[in-house]
Amino acid sequence: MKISEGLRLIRGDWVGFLGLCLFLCFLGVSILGIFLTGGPNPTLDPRKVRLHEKLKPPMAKASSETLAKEHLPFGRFILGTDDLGRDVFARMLQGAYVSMSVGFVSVGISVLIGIIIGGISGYYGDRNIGLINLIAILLLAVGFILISTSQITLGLFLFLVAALFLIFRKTKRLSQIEIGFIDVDSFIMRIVDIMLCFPSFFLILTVVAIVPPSIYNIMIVIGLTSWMGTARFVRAEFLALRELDFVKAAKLLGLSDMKIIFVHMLPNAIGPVLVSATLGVASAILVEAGLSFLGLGVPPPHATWGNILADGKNYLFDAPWLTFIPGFSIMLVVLSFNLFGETLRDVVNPKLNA
Amino acid sequence: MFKFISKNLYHRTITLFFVSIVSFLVIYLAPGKPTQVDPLNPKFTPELVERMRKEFNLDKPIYIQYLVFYKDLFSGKLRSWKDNQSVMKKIKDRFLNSLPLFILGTLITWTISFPIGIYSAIKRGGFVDKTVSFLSYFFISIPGFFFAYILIVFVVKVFEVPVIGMNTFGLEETNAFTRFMDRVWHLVIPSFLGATGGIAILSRYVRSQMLEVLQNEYIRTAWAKGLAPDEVYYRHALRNALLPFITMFGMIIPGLVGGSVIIESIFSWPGLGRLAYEAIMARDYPVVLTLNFISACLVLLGTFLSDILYLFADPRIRL
Repeated sequence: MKISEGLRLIRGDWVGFLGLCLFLCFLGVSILGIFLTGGPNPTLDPRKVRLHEKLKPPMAKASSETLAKEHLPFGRFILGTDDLGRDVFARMLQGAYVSMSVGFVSVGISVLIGIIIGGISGYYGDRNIGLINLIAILLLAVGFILISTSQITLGLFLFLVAALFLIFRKTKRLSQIEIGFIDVDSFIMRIVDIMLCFPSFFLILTVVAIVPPSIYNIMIVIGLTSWMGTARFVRAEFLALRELDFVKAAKLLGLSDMKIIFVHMLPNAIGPVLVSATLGVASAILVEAGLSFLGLGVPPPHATWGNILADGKNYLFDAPWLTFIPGFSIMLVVLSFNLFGETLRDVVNPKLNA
Repeated sequence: MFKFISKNLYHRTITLFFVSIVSFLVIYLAPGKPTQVDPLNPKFTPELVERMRKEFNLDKPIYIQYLVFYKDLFSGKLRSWKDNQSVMKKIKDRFLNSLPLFILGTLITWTISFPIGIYSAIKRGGFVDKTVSFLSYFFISIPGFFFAYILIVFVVKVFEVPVIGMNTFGLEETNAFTRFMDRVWHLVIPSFLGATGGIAILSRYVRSQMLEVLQNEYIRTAWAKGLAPDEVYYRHALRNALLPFITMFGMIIPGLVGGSVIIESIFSWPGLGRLAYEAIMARDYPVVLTLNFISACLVLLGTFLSDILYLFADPRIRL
């Protein structure tokens, strides 16, 4: 489907269009946030503590004139200050891109895993598991576990060996040894079932609590615990696509499996994945806010909307703007993602735009 | 029938076995040791750490630890590392606290979202449908704890009732009615809060199911026969639209443990979710692992129940 046609469909649905506009605004704000608050010497410093200016309401004038000119727009705290006198406007700007990157990176990880696992399951589903592949995958898993338990050299070595083997192997002879009692699809779906047995927020909470607090760990954990939906979508699509003529034609032309999967099949299966990714970003931002509330979110000095909100709730009566500004911002952004995602679902649905 | 059930149970048992391994590995392979929780405490001498490691089998190889853990779990001898209480007893106490919250929340969710969903599907595009859609997106998108704080401030200011905890301290001397109302207020607000998200999602789902069913040929036939609208909607459409909710019904059971962490933390409600959070923060692994295992069991139980219910509810499935 062409992009212009998609735009036309979105424009027909004003709710989805509103979602898209809000989403673009958010994107603009977060890019602005990188430029204004990033770097060693930012224009607006979200980290600067001014204890004599703490809990100022929005639009309050800064008391010291020299300081105001240097670091504040119009010499005012546009959104007030928090309990340490930090400028909430600067923190919200920084939080925009940090929250955004948490959402996007974690969803990126989960979509990547989901596509690979769902793709393998849907494409090679009816074959038996090759012993050598099973061993390679086990090596991958062991390597990953070793990396996460800080035995990085050995873990990385195993991980790379297994990954390189899986990508570049040429021998057909080794792949002949198969394990007969279970096929690839059932095997992978069993793994998905096992993962689905854990209640997701509880699992995220457990893992986040035991790994060292860092923004990357939170992204990785959210990503690693939310790929199951994508994997199921991709598998279902691939099972249907596998039987179609263009895939058979591609096989007859002698294209490699990788090329068939990624170049020919994936673009036809990407619709539902995009929808679930859009909704996934929304839920990742909410999960991060929930983790921040429990004191396990992105650690300082990074400001996210979640931890501004979580810090602000202690001053609910004295400084309500500390709660309401990030709260409603999160709500608006998540709302825009949800609305856009729902509209996207209608747009990519071939039944509706035939 | 019997074959189906036994095969289903067999698959679930295998899944449960792997779940037990994975949840054990997640906890034990993560960096940080339970003996390092309080390294600055002067009472925490190396000898004490060594004794603790011996006491809780932490010096044994990992597969022994795994076996010992699950042996203790099933024989009920498992003890918390934090206070040496029986894990099962702790969980039972907290479970009884969580249960009313869970039951009331589920009742609110299901009784409200079905009429709303059905009505907005029937009057598609009408004022009610649009308002409900907007409100559902609002409730799906708002961070739960932010909404909770708005709600608490509102309730406390307007109705002047206390809501934090399970009951108000110091009301033991008053009459039964006051105590009862106190308990009710403490229960209703968290349940309502827990239900809002569920209502938003479930009513959207009911609506889309109903819309899908209403497009079928047999609904057109029903209209063509000249049946009354109520007859078409509730006898022909609703019955078929209800089928997928058997799955949903199976999926709410695991919410008992995992779904309530944030809400119970906000309201200081001494329930399972709060226990999970406290145990995670204290690295009380036996409690965390047991809760993990129980919730996995609940997930498997829920999906098993919904499979069985499908057998009875859907005449198209014949074994």
